[in-house]
Amino acid sequence: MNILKRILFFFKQIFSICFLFYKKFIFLFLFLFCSYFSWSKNANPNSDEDQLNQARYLASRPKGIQKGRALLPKSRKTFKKIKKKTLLKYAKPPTLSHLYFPEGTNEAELEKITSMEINQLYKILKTSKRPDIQIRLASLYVEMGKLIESRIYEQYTEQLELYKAGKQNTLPQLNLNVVQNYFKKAVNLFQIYIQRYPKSKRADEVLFHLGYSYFQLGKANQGKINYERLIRQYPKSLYLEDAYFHLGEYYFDTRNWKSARSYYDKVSRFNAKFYSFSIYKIAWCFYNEGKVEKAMNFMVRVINNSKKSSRFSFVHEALNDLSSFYVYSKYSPREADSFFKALVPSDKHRLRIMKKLAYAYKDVGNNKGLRYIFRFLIERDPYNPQAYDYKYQIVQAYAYSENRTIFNKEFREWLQYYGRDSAWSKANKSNSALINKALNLMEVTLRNYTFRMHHSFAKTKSNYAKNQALFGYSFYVRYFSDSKHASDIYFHYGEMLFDLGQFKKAAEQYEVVVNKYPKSDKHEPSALNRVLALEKIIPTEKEVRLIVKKNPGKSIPFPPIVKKFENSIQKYIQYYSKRKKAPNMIYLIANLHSEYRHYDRAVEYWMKIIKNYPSKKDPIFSRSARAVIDTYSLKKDYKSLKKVSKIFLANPIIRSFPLAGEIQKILGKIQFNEAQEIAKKGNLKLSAKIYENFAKESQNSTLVVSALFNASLNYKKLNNISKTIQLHNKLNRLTKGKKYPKIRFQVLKNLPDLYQRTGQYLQAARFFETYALTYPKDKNVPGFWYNSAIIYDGFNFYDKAVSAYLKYYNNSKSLDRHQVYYLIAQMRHREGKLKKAIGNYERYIRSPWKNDITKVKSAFQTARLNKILGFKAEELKWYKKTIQLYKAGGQGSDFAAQAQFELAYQVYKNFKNIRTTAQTLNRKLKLLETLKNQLKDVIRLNYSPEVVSSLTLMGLAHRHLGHAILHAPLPKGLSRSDMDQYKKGIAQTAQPFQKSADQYFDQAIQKSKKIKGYFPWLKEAEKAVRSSAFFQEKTYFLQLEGL
Amino acid sequence: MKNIILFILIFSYKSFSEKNLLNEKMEQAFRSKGQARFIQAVSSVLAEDEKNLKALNYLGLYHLKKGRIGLARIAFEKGLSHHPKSFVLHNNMGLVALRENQKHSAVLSFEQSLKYNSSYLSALINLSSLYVEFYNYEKALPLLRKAYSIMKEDRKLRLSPKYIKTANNYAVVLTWAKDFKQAEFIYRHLYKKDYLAIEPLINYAILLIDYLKNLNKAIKILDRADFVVKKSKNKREIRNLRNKIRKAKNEKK
Repeated sequence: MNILKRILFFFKQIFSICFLFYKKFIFLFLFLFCSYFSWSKNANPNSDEDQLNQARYLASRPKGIQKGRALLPKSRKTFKKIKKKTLLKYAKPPTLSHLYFPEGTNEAELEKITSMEINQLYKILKTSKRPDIQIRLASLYVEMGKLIESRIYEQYTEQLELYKAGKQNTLPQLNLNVVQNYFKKAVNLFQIYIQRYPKSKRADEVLFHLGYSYFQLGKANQGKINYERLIRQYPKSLYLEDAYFHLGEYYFDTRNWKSARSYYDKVSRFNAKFYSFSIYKIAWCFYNEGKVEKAMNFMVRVINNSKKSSRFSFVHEALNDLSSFYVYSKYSPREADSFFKALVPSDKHRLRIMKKLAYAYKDVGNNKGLRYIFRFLIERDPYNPQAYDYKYQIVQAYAYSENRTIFNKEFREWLQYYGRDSAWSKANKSNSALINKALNLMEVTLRNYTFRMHHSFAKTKSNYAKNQALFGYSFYVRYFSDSKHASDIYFHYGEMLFDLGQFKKAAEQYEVVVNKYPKSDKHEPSALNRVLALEKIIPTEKEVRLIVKKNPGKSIPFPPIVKKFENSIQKYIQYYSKRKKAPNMIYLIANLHSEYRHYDRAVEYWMKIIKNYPSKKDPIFSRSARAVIDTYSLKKDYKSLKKVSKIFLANPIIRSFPLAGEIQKILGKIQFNEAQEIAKKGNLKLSAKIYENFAKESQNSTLVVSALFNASLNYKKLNNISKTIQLHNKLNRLTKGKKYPKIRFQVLKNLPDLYQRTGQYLQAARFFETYALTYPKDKNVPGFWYNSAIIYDGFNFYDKAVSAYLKYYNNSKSLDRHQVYYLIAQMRHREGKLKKAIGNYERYIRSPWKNDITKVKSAFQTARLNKILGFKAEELKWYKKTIQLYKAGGQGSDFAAQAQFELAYQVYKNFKNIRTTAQTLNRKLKLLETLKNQLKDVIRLNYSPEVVSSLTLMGLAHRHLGHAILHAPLPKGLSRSDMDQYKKGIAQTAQPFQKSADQYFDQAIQKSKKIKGYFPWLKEAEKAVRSSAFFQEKTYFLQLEGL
Repeated sequence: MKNIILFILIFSYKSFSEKNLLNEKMEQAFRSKGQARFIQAVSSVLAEDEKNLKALNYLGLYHLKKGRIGLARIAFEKGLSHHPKSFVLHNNMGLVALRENQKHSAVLSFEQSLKYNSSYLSALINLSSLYVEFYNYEKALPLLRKAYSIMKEDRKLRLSPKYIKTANNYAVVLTWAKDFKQAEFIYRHLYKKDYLAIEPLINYAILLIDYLKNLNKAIKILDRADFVVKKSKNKREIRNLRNKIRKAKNEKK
């Protein structure tokens, strides 16, 4: 299916491009073709071939674990940015209200009493209408208005505070209607009175109250008119100082500093109750006008006046305000101490003022002044409980300053001088609350500052931020390692070091979190990042390969850093074994073990993945399985490989993978390899059994045929031929077709030999034939045809044999192929087809094959066969031919001798056939001589049987002649005596022949005995010798014998 | 240790009995004359041990019986290549040579057989028969004597036809050696046992007529021969011998 998809994809691309780029079609085609193949190579990495290739190598390190970015905590503003307060806006001298009611007044009680008094006077006024009661009631209305206003303001302030604190939902509304009513009633009553009694003794009082009430009702002009009328009409009134003061206050509030100052000045001339306050206010007016030195002089006057009179003393306010004014004055911070020493000789009070001054400098953003004063304070009293705060103020002031040197110095000093083990802490150790507060402040400040700097570094990559952050982290971990935020700090410190590439240090920070803060939310990322940090500094795959290469075959111990790395992974797994990244980590360490040749440990880890993280989707799972298989394959640990493969196949997930098929194959291969290894060690029998078992169990495997073949070869080596044949036969069936050409070739080649060795010649012949037909171009083919023919020949399967012989003849290129005619001839002879035999003998003799013994024999056999067929002339011709061939080749003397003897025997037969008479005797003698000569030729050939034959034949010839002479017909007409003489003469003539005959026979027998030969003609000789003395019937038989 | 010994004993007994079983099967198959069965039996033995002497010998004999002389020779020669001192194989190679009418080679093979086992009866009989055929009575005599003595001791062999023939040959050679008494003893023994073989009767008659001159007994023997004879050649010989007796009697008269 994959292939189809790829083809479709390919052609789809082609067609779409063709439409677009018609002319550049060819180039594009080539390009796409190339890219397709490169794509297809990558597209299916799990193809069988690739997997097999992959199986040769161990898994490489995974690249799956990525470091996540940890967000820095939101840093609160460590140092408040000091906003400069402008002179007028923020100058807030105390108001009159602070002075109006003496402290300790119970307003509520007063309000109640006043209310009762108002009610009573009101009732009275209804009936009597007296002007004094009217004034009294109006005054009470004013009093009441003031009290209620004060109360409402208080309530409003409280509610506002609650609202700001979020404890109240609605914004409070300031409702002064009730107050306004009182003041309105008072105004009405006062207005009526002043109209009725403009020249009354109490008119100045009424005008003052009327002015006051108008001011309270927001009618400043009406109020001012009434005050000015009072000042104008009653210059000696007791209310004049108050009127001046109120007008000064009015102008002060309306920021008319000059008018205000002139009224305050008038007040001061009274040198009465408002003297100090008016001077104090004048100072403020000057201050607000920007005349700081003048303001300071007036403040000094307030302070000095306070020494004379203790009433309405503003010395504290004056001193405080003076410190505020000082910061704007021409005086430097260095002069401050001497300046205030003149006013406040007491060190204690002066230092308090100085502190105020320092804060004033802070308010105006005068860092130098602030720093100087606070440092002055610290120098004066270094162990003062507030000293840490003074230093903090300096640090805070410089936090946003551009002068980083001072900031760094101050910040570090702050941390060092007021930290846990500082002298200051020791001096204040009794005040644990203070120490804790200081430390808390320091911790929060340092933490936030460090985070802020880290954040800044992350954004800007500035060196300053980096250094500050690093300093902060290092300081924090040194002094606040017990803080509840320490885990955060360690973690982020680690993060920063990681980002800076200081992986070892980063890992150390993460390690602290991992070991010390198991419950921290940073524990998991620390554990993970520790692994990642160490991963960066462990030797790379390439480096490990180089180390390992130098120590071939040895397992290399982990260097300390890798040990640490393993430990980090173990720690992660200990806590987060169920996390997504856990298997990746285990896989990583497993691979490292594998790289260092700790194969057992590697397998242990991979197996852990397989056992604990079964997943269909995670490639780590399948890779681990593959790595285990590869490792054992590499180690050739087939036992373990087998065991593991079985475990894998029992796993339902692995079973659903294509890997399962591979494992099946591997399992088969294991058995196969196991068998190979065992065979190499020499245990052929066991190896063969394993091969057989494999073939039985893995019937679908492609290795079945190879296994069976190897098993059969092992059995062959073990000489277990029955098994070899059995398996070869099976292989013969299995390898039909074109799938296993090499094995089939070997099987078909081996089978005939195997059958031959077990005496199954017919089967052998058939397989010789099969082989020759299957591989007609193989070099062994002629030989196999020949073997097949020989066997068929042996079985007397004449036609088959002839066919095989001829096939050998046609396939062979060697000259000796002509000998098949000789063999066919012999076979035909045996078959009884004599003419065919003769034909083949003749063909053989005519062949270009050298004149060797077989050719001589063939000629002789041809003669013999012609003799059987009664072809006399042919017979003799071939005897002669035999001798001729012998002479030509020099081989086959035996057949030449036989042929020569046969020719001589013809002479003997002629000799014997001539009837012996006186007339024929000479002819016979001549023939005897001829015979003798011919037999001499036979004897010269020195073939023992024929030597014996020749001697015997000579004997027979002589005996015959002797016998013939003796029994020749007697001549007629002879007298008895003549007859006797004739017979005597005949006997004398015959005797030498008889004697010669006996001698020849004897020579034949002796020759036989000498050479221990037993030849047919010996029998004749013996018979001839013994026939005269001994005759008996005799027999012999042959013994066929088994064991 | 005991267990190991026991195991070895059991194992060797097992393999021994397995081999015996195979041999038995092979012998039975050889006698049953079933080709497929025999070839299967032999090949299973040769598959276990391709040098197996018995199997190769049986194979050769089987093919020899079937007239496949070439195959027989292959089997015997293979056997001899692995067991060059096997007197049985040499004997059987002699038989192959006889089939090919190579009597000289046959004699050499039988002699080889006796070289390795001088009491091997088959070779003794075969070689002595060939010697007798070629009238080499001198060499035949000791062999026949040995063969005869072996056969005589064995009751089973005494009942086989080869005993009669061997005894006959022995008696012939004894006659040549002029040990008529022993020769007559053998003939008489054969005569008494009522063996229906013609040759010993004729030879006994010749001995009685030509050497012992016991014509009456010879007539008696020839009467028995008349009863047994089937071939015309033998009938002619009997007739000749009767004529000879008659002539001798006439001469006596």
